[in-house]
Amino acid sequence: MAAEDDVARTHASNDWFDGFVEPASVTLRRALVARNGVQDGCEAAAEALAWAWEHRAELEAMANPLGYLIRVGQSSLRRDRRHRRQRRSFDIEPHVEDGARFDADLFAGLARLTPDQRTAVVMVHMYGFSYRDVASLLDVSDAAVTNHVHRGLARLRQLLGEERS
Amino acid sequence: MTMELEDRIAAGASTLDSAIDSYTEREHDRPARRRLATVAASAVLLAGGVAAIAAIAPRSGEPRSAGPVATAAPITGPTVPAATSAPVAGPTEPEDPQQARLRTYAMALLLDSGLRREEMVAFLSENVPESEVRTCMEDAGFAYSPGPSPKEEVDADVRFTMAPHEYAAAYGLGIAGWDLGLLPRSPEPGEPAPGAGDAAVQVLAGCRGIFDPERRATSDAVNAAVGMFRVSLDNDQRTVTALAEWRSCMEAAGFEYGSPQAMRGSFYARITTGEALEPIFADEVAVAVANVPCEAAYSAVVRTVIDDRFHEFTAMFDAALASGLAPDAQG
Repeated sequence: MAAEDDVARTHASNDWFDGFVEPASVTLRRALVARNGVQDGCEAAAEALAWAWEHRAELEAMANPLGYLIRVGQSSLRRDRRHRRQRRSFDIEPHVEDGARFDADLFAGLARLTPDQRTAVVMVHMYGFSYRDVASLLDVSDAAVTNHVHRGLARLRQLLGEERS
Repeated sequence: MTMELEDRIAAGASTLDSAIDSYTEREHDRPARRRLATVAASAVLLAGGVAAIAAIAPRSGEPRSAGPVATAAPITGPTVPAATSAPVAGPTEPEDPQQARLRTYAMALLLDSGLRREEMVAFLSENVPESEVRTCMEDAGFAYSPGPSPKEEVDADVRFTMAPHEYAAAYGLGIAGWDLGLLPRSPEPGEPAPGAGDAAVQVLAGCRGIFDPERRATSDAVNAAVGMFRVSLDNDQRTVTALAEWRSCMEAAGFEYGSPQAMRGSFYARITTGEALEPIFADEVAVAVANVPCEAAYSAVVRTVIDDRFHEFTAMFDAALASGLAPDAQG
């Protein structure tokens, strides 16, 4: 029966999913938040993870499941934005325990980068991913990531008044 | 000596992670959700996906792509009411405003399709009226062009003006056609005057009630209730049967999908891959045309189940509202 087949497939994929989802969800949120801000990024990650749960058998067979989930999350935002009155920005606010070391200028500068530049800069320089890893996550070329990072850093330096001679 | 830019960026990781953790905890790990710890992850994650619906995002009846397939998710939580086909009597007299409001949310957020025009108007009416937004913006010194009223917005939405089979033939499921520019665009929402800057955007968010504690508390409780109730809905035997019938109906037309959500999700996934939109749209129209009678039958059952079990939804909402979801409890 179809229902029994569904249940069997579900059980077969659960172990893989459990091992995949915990580390993947961290990177997924970071990448989507870097691009879209906290609220949209977290909501997109939740959408992508829900999709992942439903499609865990398909996901298991993918060569780059995390990269695919990032695109699923991004796609969900694109869909939701059609019906939303306000596009949220990259809006990071300090938390009480974090206030003393909150670098407001840095985050204001990051907010003014293009989404591609911001994602690349954050993933490479904030979270320590290699250019190759980020290229794989975002499904773009290494050269594109290099370009986004370099242009993003240059723009940030300009915005923060740190332009080098 | 000033800190190198790269070091400054690296030092920002804790700030960004704190912001993510804070948001995730607020939206996904509240007390009401913790009671659902043994419920399938799909339901909890899905609930997070509709966060802040009341305060922020006026959505159409367009379904979300992600959603548990009733027969696939091993849902065994103790808080999930046992599936029952015993109907509870529907309202026999006019509902009080709170009940009516919750019913609007339930239908708008839980029905994949088949939302009625008046329900969509009511749903959009949950937003702060544009006239009030305009006054608020002008009081803050910003010019503002109001957007359409909920009724105008729905009147301009062809989903509510065309017969379902005509819509399907013309626009498919409304996915690739939107990206191709084929779908008529609804009137644009109100916006601050061009060049008003970020300050105007922030003020606008406030005027729209995004930071309003009461709206936020309602939104959060609705979100929690939707997540919990969806499990009940999907496990109701009538929904399970209707879903199986929907699958059979689609299979008879040559299409295999696990659920209407999965069907739409497959097209949303395709449009992100860089594939040309025209062939996606052609496939989508074929699927959509086949889906019209199949999903009409399925949606009718889902609507009935929502109505019959609506008392559960209201109880879940009340419990969520009472369990510390208010934003002032979040800090």
